[in-house]
Amino acid sequence: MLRYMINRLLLMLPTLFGVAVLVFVLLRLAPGDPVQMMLEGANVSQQVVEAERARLGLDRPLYVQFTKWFGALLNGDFGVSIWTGRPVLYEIGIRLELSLQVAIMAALLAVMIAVPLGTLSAVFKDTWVDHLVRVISIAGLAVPSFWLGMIIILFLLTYFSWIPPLTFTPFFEDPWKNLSQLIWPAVAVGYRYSAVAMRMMRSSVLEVLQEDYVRTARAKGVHERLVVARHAMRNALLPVVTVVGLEFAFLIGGLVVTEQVFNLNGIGKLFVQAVARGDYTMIQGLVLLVAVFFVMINFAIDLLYAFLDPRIRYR
Amino acid sequence: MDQPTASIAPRDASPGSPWLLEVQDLHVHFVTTRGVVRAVEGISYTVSRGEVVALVGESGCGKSVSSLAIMRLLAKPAGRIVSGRILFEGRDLLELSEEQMREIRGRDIAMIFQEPMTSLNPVLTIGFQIMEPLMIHLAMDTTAARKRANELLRMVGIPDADRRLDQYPHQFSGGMRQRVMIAIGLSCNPKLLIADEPTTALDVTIQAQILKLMKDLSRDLGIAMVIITHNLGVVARYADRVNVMYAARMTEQATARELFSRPLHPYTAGLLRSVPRLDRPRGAKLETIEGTPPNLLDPPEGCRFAPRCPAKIPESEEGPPPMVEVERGHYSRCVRAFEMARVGPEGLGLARASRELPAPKQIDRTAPILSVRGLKTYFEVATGFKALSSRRSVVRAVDGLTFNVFRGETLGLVGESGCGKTTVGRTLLRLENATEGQIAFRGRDVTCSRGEDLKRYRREMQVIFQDPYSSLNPRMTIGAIIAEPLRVYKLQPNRAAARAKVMDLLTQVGLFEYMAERYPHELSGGQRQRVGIARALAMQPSFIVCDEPVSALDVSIQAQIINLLEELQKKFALTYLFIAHDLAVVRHISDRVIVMYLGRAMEIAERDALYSTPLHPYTRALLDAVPIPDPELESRRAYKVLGGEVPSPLDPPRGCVFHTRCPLASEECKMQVPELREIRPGHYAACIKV
Repeated sequence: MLRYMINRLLLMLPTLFGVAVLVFVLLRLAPGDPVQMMLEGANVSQQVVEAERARLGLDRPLYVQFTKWFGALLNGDFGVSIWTGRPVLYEIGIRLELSLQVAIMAALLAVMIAVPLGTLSAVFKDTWVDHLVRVISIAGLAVPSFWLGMIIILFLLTYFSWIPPLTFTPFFEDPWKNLSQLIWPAVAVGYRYSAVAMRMMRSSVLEVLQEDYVRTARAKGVHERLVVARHAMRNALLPVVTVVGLEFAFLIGGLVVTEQVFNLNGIGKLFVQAVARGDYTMIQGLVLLVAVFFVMINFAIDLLYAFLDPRIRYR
Repeated sequence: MDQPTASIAPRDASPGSPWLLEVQDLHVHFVTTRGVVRAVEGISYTVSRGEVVALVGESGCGKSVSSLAIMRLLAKPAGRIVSGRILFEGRDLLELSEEQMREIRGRDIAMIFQEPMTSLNPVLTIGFQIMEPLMIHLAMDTTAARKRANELLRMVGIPDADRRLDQYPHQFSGGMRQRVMIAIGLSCNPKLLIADEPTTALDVTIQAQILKLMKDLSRDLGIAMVIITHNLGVVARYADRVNVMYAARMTEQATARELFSRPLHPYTAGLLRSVPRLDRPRGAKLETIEGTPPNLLDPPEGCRFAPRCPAKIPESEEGPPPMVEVERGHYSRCVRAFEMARVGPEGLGLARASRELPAPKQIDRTAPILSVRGLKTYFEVATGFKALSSRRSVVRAVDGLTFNVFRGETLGLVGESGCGKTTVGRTLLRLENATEGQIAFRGRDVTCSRGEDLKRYRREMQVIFQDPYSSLNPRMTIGAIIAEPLRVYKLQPNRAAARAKVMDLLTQVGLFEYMAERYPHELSGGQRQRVGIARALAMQPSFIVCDEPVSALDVSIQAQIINLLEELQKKFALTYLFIAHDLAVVRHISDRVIVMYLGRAMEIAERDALYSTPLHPYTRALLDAVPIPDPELESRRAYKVLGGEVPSPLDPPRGCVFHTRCPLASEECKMQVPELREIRPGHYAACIKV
């Protein structure tokens, strides 16, 4: 088991290297020059542009630029933002807490909604319970989260004449203030998120309920509630875990729109700004960060799988 | 047997009913999109305390449905018990509340299912799964339940019980899992155990072990059993009384001895005759029941069996015949039952199994058509966590096999699952590559041939696969499936010729031309297997590998396919390699037989020599394990049940691979790998003790 974990961790390195190369090259292939953009409207001479370029090292051959960037990366130095001049890690660091918290809350919400509702829906297939749950999940898939976000803000404003606080307060400083700001985007994102998982859970439970071992459990005289909770649900969770995990990885980078709606200064917003400004180092840093998350979460899913399914543990 | 078992008493019986279980006029319907399927129509039977009752019939006859109905475990909402009563100790189970019923399940009535591989929950430990009913029904605490689970495991013959309790189902073999299922079934000391095809998925030696275990336990603990099966041999060996079902109705009921010696329904008589038997000389042809069972969406008006019955009279089709007691305790649902009792089946025009010997075959013994020398097929498998692990182990699926096949003969290849028989077939077809050794076809080495050479070889060498349900592409019409090889090999000049050829092939295998437009799911299992045969014949091959061609089929259909294969062999001068696990079928069809165990040949001999004087202890054990459909004979037979299980081919035993289970094994056997020696002319065995 330990060996397997080490192997898996080592395998992440080539993956991340591939991501680094890809994002580096693709960015420079895309049209638009960061220096031009930065100095736009400043009416400076070509000389100044060239000088700025040289200062940033953008006049050097690609492989030299890459080696320099990647070398620094190996020392944990993600470089400085071309635009703000502050270290990339610093810029990400001050916003990560917020985005991560929203993502985690959305994921927890999604699981807490999806697992019980999906199971109920399967157990009471073709009854009003099932129909209701299916309407809820279809609506979740159909409603864009930014729209839901706006509706939430409008609702709070019209009926309670209140809007969530605009500045971020870390959770451990003032949990109440923190939650009153972040719970809303988490709901807006988590609802959609849960819709996918709910449908997955429903079909998974339906499938498992047909299994021979569920019939065995019933033949043993196990209470129907326990048949579902003990014998069916754990087996049914396996495919749901995959979906929830992968979606979570997407969330980290995918809060873009929701952060705009709720005017949150998070990773998503940073991403949008960096792309608009052609901030190479910042984009590279962010993409790598998302990639790291993605790989780590995949790893976590595999470990969770091994926990849920003994067949994997011993193979 | 462990004594503490008795400490769990069965619940007090309520007096009144002489029967433990009495099923009265049970009707079960399934609502499907195509209409209502009447899966069980008015069946009645009884079980006394401690008795073993069999429910026999072909697939779809309603035997499993009726047993699930007793447990009230029919799939909801499609399956519905429409009417009838199920009296268990005088209480009607159909009138109990769900909660009362739940208290009976696992406590008073336990059930064992067909598929041991899927019947246990993969994410829960074996121990927990055995302890669960004890904690539910007997309110035991964990310690007491674990102690009892430990006892139970030892009782069903699983060594090292304490450690095994903490393991998961995937760490157990199929036979072991079925033992665990039995342990679960027996845990609360029930009064009735319903076993639905408990050994169908198991190998014959394991089947013999499990059935013996069940019978012994049922006798020692006084538990009544209902065995549901299609295997008449199993019935003959283990049942006291037999109920025969056909197309949702009960057709005949009698004691096992009565039923096998004097069947009083043409269906039972036909069923008994269509099984190839080890104890009788091979007739020219297997008796068959023509046709297929009726569609239960639209069954025939009168006797359900009438359309297939050679003894039918106009009255048979007029209305459902009543169940009549022809003799004391012997019931039959046939209008001619009394007549049959008087004049016997022959008197009704139901022929006795033909005693004539088969016409001698044209076998050219001068030069083998296929010659295999020292064939080895190994597979590499990654153990441990797959992706990166560098530890790879080798499965020795086939480990040094040498044999010849002569033109026109049928060479049988038998063995238990995992012995490598299917791999032999696949290697000969070049679907797997041989690791070592040589395959020569008509004197030409084809072991490594490629391109045109391989194509030419494959034209000559065709295959019929085991499962007619999954080996035909569901998106292709029957015509297209049969025509595909013609197209690939450009065997016909144009479409019209190819079409004519397809029609010809359909007729050859006993299908109708209109079926060319049908899709596989519209055909029955037997018809699909005929399609598989037609597809193989399309290439006009000289050699066909038949890989378990009849094992997925019902008895009456099986006989039809075997007869067809033999007919075609004669007509087209075909040579067969017939791979199967059913020793009786192999005996019927083969001229010579190879017995395989763990990738090696144990014995090769002429059919009659092998079956009458088997030399290798493994062959003897195999033959002993097969139950013969005759209770008289079975009761006199002194068979020994072979213990143990087939070791893993990942780590086969040193020396003789069979020594771990062999009754004759000595130290010497562990030292050397026995060579295949010619003990008598043409009779080879790989054993140092013969």
